[in-house]
Amino acid sequence: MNRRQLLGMLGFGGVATLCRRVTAAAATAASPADYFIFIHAAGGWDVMLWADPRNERKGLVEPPSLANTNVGGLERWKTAGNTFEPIVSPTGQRFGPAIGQLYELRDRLTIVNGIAMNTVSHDDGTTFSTTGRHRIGGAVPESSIDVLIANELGAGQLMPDIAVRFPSSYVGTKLDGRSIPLRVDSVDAVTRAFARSQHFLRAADRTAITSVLTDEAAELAAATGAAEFSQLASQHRDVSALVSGDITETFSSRRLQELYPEFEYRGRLGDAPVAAAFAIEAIKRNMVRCVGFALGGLDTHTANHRHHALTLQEIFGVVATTLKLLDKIPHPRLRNTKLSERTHLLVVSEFCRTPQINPAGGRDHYPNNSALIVSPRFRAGRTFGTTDPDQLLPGRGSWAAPDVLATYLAAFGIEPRRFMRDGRVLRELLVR
Amino acid sequence: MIVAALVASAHAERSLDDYRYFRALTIDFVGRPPTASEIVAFERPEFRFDQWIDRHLAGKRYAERIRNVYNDRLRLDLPLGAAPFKPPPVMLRWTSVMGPDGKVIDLYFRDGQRRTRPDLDGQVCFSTAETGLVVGPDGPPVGKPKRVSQKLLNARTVVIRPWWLYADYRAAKPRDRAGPVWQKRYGFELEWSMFTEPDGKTPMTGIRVCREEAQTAPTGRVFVTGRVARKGDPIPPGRQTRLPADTAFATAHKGEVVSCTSKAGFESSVDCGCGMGLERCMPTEPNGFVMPWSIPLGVDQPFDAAPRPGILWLRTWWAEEAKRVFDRVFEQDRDIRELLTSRGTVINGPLAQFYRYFANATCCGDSGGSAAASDVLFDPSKVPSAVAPYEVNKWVEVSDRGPHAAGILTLPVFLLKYGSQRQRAHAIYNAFTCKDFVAETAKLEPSSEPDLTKRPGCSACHQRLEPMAAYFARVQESDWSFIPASQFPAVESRCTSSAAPVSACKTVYDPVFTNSQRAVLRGAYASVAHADLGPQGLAAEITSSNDFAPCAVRTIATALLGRPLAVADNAWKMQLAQDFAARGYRMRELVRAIVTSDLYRGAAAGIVGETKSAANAPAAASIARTVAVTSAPAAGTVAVAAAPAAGPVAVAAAPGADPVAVAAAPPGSLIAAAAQSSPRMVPPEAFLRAYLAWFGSEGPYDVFLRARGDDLFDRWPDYLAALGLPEYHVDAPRLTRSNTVLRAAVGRLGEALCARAAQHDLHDHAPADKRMVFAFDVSAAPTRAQFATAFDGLHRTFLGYPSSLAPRHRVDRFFDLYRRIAADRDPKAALTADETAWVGVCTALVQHPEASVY
Repeated sequence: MNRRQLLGMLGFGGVATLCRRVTAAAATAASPADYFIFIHAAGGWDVMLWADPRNERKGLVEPPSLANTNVGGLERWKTAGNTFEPIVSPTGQRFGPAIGQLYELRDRLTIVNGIAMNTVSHDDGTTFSTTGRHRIGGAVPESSIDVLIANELGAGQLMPDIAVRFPSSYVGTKLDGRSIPLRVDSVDAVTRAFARSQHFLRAADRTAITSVLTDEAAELAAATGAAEFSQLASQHRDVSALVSGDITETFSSRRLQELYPEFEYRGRLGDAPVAAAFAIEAIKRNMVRCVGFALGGLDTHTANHRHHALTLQEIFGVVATTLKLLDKIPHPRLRNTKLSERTHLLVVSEFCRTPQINPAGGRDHYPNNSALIVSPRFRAGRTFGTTDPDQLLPGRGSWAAPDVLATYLAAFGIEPRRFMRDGRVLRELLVR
Repeated sequence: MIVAALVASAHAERSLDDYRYFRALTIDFVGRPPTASEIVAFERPEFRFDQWIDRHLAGKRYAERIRNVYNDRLRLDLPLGAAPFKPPPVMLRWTSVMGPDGKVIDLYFRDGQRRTRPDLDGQVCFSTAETGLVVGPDGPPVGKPKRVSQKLLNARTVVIRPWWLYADYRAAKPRDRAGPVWQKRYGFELEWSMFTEPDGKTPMTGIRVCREEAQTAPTGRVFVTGRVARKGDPIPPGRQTRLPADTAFATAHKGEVVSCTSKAGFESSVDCGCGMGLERCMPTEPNGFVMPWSIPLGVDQPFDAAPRPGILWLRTWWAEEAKRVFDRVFEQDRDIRELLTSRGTVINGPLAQFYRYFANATCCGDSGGSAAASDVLFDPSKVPSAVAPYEVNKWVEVSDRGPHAAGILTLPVFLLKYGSQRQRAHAIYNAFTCKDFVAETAKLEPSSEPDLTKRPGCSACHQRLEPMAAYFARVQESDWSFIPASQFPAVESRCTSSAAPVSACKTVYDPVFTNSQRAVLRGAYASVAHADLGPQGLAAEITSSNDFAPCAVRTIATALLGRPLAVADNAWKMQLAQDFAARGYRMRELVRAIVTSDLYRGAAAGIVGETKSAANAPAAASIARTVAVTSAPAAGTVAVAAAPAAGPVAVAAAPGADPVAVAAAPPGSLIAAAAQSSPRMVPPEAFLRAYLAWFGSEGPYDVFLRARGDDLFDRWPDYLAALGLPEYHVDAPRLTRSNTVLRAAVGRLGEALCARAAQHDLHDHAPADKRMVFAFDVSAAPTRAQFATAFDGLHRTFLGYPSSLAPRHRVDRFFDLYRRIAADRDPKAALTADETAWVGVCTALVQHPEASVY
């Protein structure tokens, strides 16, 4: 089977998938044509370098400077004295120098500053940023945002939620089992399972086997009323589509790098951007609902903090490249629609870094945070939230991580209270 | 034919409920679905569920099942990078020098080893000038090596036959050297680099170590140099580190006897070495210990193994110790309160070595003597002497670790996993009372109040948590070292804010809760009394709580029923809890009560049903269908009698179909219970064991060897991620996955194993007793009846019950599949058309929806 045939078949599979999704769509009033990318900027980012720029020594704040930051290679660094000059967009949004090429897409960015974290632990901060709850006894008490979205909008999708080192968590018994994230270290681990030998069974044989399994599962579902069997039926159908094509080859790390040379695979992030390429290709083929991945290297307590801005710039470079590619790719199911119109990005980190430089030359963990959202459902070109000028802590009337996540769910018609204990919807962030 | 034997032996009346119930019990108590022979045994008239349950409640797999329930909560394993065990007194570092003949010689030494020569004190026993090499803080030496004369080599070093190379290392002349049989004898491998000299060829008969490290005396004398460390002192020429200064302990105890297994002995004596055969030390480099990796089925059945440095060696065994402590309670049906209160444990060789020699190397105290029972969590004198460091597979019970030991609460893996005092208390409170600390609000108001029992926004939880955390005030955070009351009273007047501080004041006492009258031990401010009671106090508080028994019932029932308990289950739960407590908190009786309840049987019965359209038969009727196989049938027919208690309901059968009688639901059937239950997904470990059992009952590695080739199968680790196995070391929970990638992964695996089984059993005509899956001979283009007979054997193997009890169309559907695959085959293919068709049938059955649930 060539690629054209496979795409045709996947398109056909998409119709079936669409039918399954109608129920979910009706229940949540959300669109079944949306895709979601979640990025964990791992290690804890320095918000003064991008979302909450500070260039004045005040209180605890010791701003990024030529003394503590390597500025060679920073595209948006403009020296002012010993420090930098913030970039101010026409709409009044202020950015730090690490924003890099993402500044070109500033009109599409929604930034939330002053997010209270109440933690400086990597694990706990990561969990709080992605679930809205702190860990309990080391365990994650609530499902993460990608799982909730997959549960509501993607359970019928071929692959509802792929997490390439993204801190996904599925907790409890209330959610659809299909939304359990597939947590893997690399995209190769996903695709390897779809390879099949040609030495014994043929594609037609597997189609016949799938047909039997699907019928058996459907009958069991009808007889018992158990949703588990319905899920198994749809999964067997989906597997049949995946093992029959060129999935293994196309989604190999090597091939993805060839397909998307726009990403930097040999920079500070190593080949981690392959996950972004995977997300784009999988979305383009309508195979996934959510893809999460991590881009790391931000935990800089010592002299390695000098490179923090460059690492951040590369992370935002991945975001920018992803958006630019999505701008060029047509939506797999909607006519006259670019993928970027229906793909939503949420970028979080576990916390920010201290406003002061420590004796080792780095910045430690700090319980303030920011988040980046790129979504047509959010008011773009705006920065929300403030921090106090002396301590870089959330200002009065600010919000916490569960508020951001609850708002994200609400943006897609999902009632947060169904899944989250905490969090209020920040209506001011949403497009009315 | 085995299938015929199966059918012939089956003459007991077994309902589909019974088969399902038996399968569920087997998955829970044996850890995998029943095998064909176990089904045969089940079908015999003398089979009794109660006897079967009793027998398996005494088994290891039952203990493992219940242990997993608790370990899913506590996740007692450590991240790879967390708390690597590398205290300098224990670490035997590897480096190399050039010998007199120009050959490279491996050399072992300890960082910080005290030596009398000032230029070498605290570092390797050769200077850079002597070897031409610089030994950095880690990694191999750098520089241009110079030959070291034999005289100098002999003066500074000695060749030792160490514990990791010689089983009889304590003998005067050790001879029992590690070799190819080492793994079989002792349970683990050493990398080749550990057996040979640096040339990779010459057998390593001993290792060269600095003379001071080779010393074996149990005690030494405190060594004082008169050196005082000053901030900013330069590093002397030719050295890589500053010269060690005299510690406060050394200055105060000059010339006194000090234990060589204490931190003080290492720091303050030139007489202390690594002991007989270097048994008090651990070689940290190169990566020599081949460790089991990916061990969802147990450390003895690894899916992967890799050479690791010695510092990770103990991590593996700490986690195993916790498992054994759980298993000891469940296998022996001991009072489960012992999980928290017992002073006993179970250890193997590496753990014996750790507790005897290593554990106190990090100890905080300044006593300098041998670790006394009152000063440690595990009294080294209680370690059985009969266990050698390399005896990985020899596990022995230790009945009493010492007065401070308290079940899992004082195991290294627990104390490192839950590094802070609050984490420790919280984890136990949550796991054994099923309660949690839930804040009223996610927001905290700014406050400078250090007492969390009073701080706004914190007090609601911390009024309860802080006194519980205080029980761990005497166990150092992220460590297992005990802070003895004899040296460090909970309230100390010498460390008051106005007094001259002693060295421990800063580290052991909390400056925030220190005033002009007293200093309080860190973590003890909420309850000094709890600090002195130690972890035993928490164990007593939790096990005497009214929540303890109901929590145990809830925990186990939730796991076995595969769903949270509902309000409607409360009366049942409380009765079970009452009985549980009255019978001395023994788990077996509780588990027996749960698995013999209608709720459990109903959960098992609820997964099979007839299609709603099938001859107007009510869906629930299938649950009550009863079959009695009365005699060995002619090929393709199975004689079936209806359940005598209920009139048969006629079901239209496909032409040629097996005669099946469907009975109406009898009074008291499990239909009502089944209706309330959803199928449980088969736990991932059981899923893996099922594959191993179906395809040869061998270990994972053997199955990998069999399945690979022809693009059929990759490595196990490529698939494990999809299976939802818990990863305790990263706190990833057990998620019995049900997603497309899992279907694809197990489909690939199933197809590979079916193909290999067909090659072995059918194509190569393996003898009957060597067959894996296909216990029949292939006949070309079989009739439906011939197919049905053979199919029934596979159906029993993969789904656990006769195909005659399956929904009506199943045999026909699979026969149709068989014929479609067999048609139009390439005559040059690896297998014949019929053999290939059986591969297809097998592949479909192994992925069947019913195989995933129970």
